[in-house]
Amino acid sequence: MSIRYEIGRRVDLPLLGATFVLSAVGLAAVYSAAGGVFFWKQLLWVGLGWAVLVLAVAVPYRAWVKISWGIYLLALVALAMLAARALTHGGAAQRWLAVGPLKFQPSEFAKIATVLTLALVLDVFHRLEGLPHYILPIALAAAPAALTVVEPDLGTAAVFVPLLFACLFWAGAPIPHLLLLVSPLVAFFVSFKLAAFLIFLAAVAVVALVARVRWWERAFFFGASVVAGAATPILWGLLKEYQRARILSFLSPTADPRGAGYSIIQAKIALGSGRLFGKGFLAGSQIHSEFVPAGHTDFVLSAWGEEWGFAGCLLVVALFAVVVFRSFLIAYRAGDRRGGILAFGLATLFFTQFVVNAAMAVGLIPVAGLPLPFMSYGGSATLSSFIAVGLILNVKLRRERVAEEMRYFGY
Amino acid sequence: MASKGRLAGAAVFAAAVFGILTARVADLQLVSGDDFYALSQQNRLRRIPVRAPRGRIYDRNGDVLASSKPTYAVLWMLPSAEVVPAAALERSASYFNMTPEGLAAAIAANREFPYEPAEVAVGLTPRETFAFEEVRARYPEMTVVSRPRRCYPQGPLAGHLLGYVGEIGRERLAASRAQGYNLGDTVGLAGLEYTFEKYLRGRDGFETVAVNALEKKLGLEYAEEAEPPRAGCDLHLTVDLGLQRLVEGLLAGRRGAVIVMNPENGDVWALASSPAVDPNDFAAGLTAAKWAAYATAPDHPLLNRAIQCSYPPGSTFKLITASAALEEDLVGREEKMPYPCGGAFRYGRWLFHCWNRSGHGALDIAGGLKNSCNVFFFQVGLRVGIDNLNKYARAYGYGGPTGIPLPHENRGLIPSRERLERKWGKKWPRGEVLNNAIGQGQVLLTPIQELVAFCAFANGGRLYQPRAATRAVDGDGVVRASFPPQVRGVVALKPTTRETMMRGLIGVVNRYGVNAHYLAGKTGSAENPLGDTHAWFTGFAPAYEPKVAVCILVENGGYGESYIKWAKEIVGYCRQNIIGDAAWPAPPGGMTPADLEKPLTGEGPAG
Repeated sequence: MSIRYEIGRRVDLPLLGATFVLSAVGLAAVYSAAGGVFFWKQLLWVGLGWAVLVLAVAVPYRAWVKISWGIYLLALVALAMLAARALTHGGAAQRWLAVGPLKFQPSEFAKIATVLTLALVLDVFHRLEGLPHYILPIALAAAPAALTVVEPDLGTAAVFVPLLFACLFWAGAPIPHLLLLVSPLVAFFVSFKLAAFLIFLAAVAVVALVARVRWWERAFFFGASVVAGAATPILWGLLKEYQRARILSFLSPTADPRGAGYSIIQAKIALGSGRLFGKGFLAGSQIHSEFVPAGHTDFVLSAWGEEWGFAGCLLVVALFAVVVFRSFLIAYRAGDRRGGILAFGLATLFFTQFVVNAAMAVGLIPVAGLPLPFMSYGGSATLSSFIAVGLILNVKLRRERVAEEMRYFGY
Repeated sequence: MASKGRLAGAAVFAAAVFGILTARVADLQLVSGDDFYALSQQNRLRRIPVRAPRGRIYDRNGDVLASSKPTYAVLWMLPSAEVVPAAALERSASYFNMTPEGLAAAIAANREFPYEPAEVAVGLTPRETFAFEEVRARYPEMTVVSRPRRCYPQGPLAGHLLGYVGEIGRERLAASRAQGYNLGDTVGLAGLEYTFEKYLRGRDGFETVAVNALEKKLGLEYAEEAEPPRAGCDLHLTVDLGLQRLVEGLLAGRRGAVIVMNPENGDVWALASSPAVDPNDFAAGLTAAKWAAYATAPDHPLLNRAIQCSYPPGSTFKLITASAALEEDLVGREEKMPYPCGGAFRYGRWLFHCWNRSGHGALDIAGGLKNSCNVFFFQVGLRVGIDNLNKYARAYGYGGPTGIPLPHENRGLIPSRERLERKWGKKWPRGEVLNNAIGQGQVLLTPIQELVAFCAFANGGRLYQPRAATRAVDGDGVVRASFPPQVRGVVALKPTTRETMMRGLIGVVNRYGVNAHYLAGKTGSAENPLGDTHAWFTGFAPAYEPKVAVCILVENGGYGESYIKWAKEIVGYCRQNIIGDAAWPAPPGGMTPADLEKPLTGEGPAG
């Protein structure tokens, strides 16, 4: 048994390599889009990121999961402080908490804390046979999400939804259950067109009948969808025009101050003008004439695509695919149930953030304001991404030992 | 443990999403890449704001009190001073006689985002604009846009009522971003401009322009994007311009306030505060010298004395004392007080004087009001007590805002047991209630509070919220909001109370010359620490069916009765020009003003 084989069995080199290349790509993009000061700061964050990655790997993940309650409550307290500040101050968004000289964004860490806690809860209570079993997991995801909505940071709050469903999915929840759980949320969006809403209700009814749940649960979910769908247009109609405008600008706040679409058009021009091989490093005219807002944060992909072209974008997509698929595989081969849920939840975190950010940059969805993991400038987002990779690596590193213990102790 | 099926499902889903994203990127970069590249090479498209004019403000007859006049602004179109050729910065700076550094700073200060156009010069007159247009081709980095500026064609007339506008501050901008405000926007900062901001402000539009007109125009969908500005709603006021001019003329050269109101619905027909301010001074951006002149003037012209300053009400407060006495049956309707006025009243070891040192003799309550006899009201005050004074002051709306749609209304101060005990403890001097009964001591009222209370008395008890605007109408003539009269509360007054006091109030005016309009009211000469007494007159006409109410306050103006002639002039104007002589009610049974002082016969014994 060679040393190389041994390392390969315990350390996921493709995941580690993709992380390294992604953070290097991110540094190049930040340097080009925002210049020296931001680059040096981001370099510092990446360096710290590797340090916290080592820390996240060093402690066995079962221990992390065991103390997840404490981390989770700490995150909730931090979010609650921001929410309280947002409610009393009004005006500008409250997303950062100062600890000494450092400012950090609790919501970034709350995502990981939530996945850790869900892994614990879904492992301990592994029966998912009826509605009551879902109440605790939903509450665990809803609490930080609700506090993040208040900040307000709707984009980050929305990420908790896929995290919750990913963990439930991997914990073995029956698919019809998941469909029923998500139906009231979907009802909000389809309710603006009557035909779509009726078709949707029919689908909910079919799923509810197929699902192995009690009658009152079927009635509950069907009723919830009807109520959610019926209430949305009525509430919307009751709002005054300026209130609607306020909500719409709440949904897409900073990136578009001068009316619809200007920044998204400029971002699209930037990306598209990169063509096959790009304009070359530091040669992106869109980025350098500051046409693209937030070229080093939310629109970092536009900056990268302008200078490195389709080839560069393909590289980034491939690297994220490696991160996501390797994490899926690690989740599948995890030594125990909680390791699997943990790895799968964190894989979903990367997947969601990448997809939402990229879809926004290419104009497929409205501006949502989520950072691109490893590439967007920002301390909290960078550190939390490295922590997440560390935890996934942790699951792989200890899978044999944990599996052995599971067999031996029978839990 | 998750099944192989779940792993496969998740992987297929993720792969599909990655595929869609890759396809989209390929579409943008490979299929449309050349188009986007051309766009980026000649990226001269800018979205420039087209400012919407604020709504106009009209008086009740449709005369314009506020409108907008065209001025122009020069916009700097390039992204950032750092990446712009130094030559462009230098030649533009030389046009404005600035240093390049100064211009760069001005650019940075006048935009929030580097890709926005920045205003580098505002307030250009048409003549200056033509001058710039002639040489514009030499400055491709700049363009001219229209920027309507608020103007008040009547000058300082109704300046306190209208308020003024100014550029939105950074702080307010941060708080009102959600309403769509941007840097450089004009907002109402005081008066009606502030209160009705959300109706008056228009919605800015935009145009998409190519920065350099000489370059060949690209046939682009984006270039045609434009949205016309929408002007703000026009605001129609209850104010009468002619009346406003009359009252400001009366007040000119003094410090004080005059308000005229319709007692039947609370409509403000005129509201003046002196010294006046000219809101035009603020619309163009206040110069430091002008600001200093306003801020340091010893008579504080920026204060709206009608609503923002409270004064001791003096004898006008006897409205409250008399109402409390009659309503609580503490004083009979024709009962004379046991101690006839001999010029002073002894209470404990203190001597309280009447204004008339030779005395009024024995009076009933109507006579007490007519002669404003302090000795009579000292005795009434002792019977009524501090708590009843507080109760009736509160009922008439004193001690709280009247709800007039103007910002920063003063609440005033009314006598109360708690306040006295807080100041002196349980053993507060009982003589305080004597002072309070005649509107001295710890009593402060704003002119608008006083007028609203007298209107309530005049109309039988309805406490109206003063109304200054009737409706907001948008550019298509659609009424976007209407503001109906609002009754805030009811003062429960027995008809006999009102009739008894009315006899006294018309008697007040009958003492001073011919009373052609049957004016009734109460004078006040309030002692204060600032010198001569503040002069008050608050009243309404005609006494038998009030159609107009007036409140006059002149700081250190001497005696209230000196201003009854003003009130008569104001009532005369309203009778001629607002109500109309034909609609003016005739006195019942042809009674003269003097007849109205006599008690009605056959109404049973008094008290």
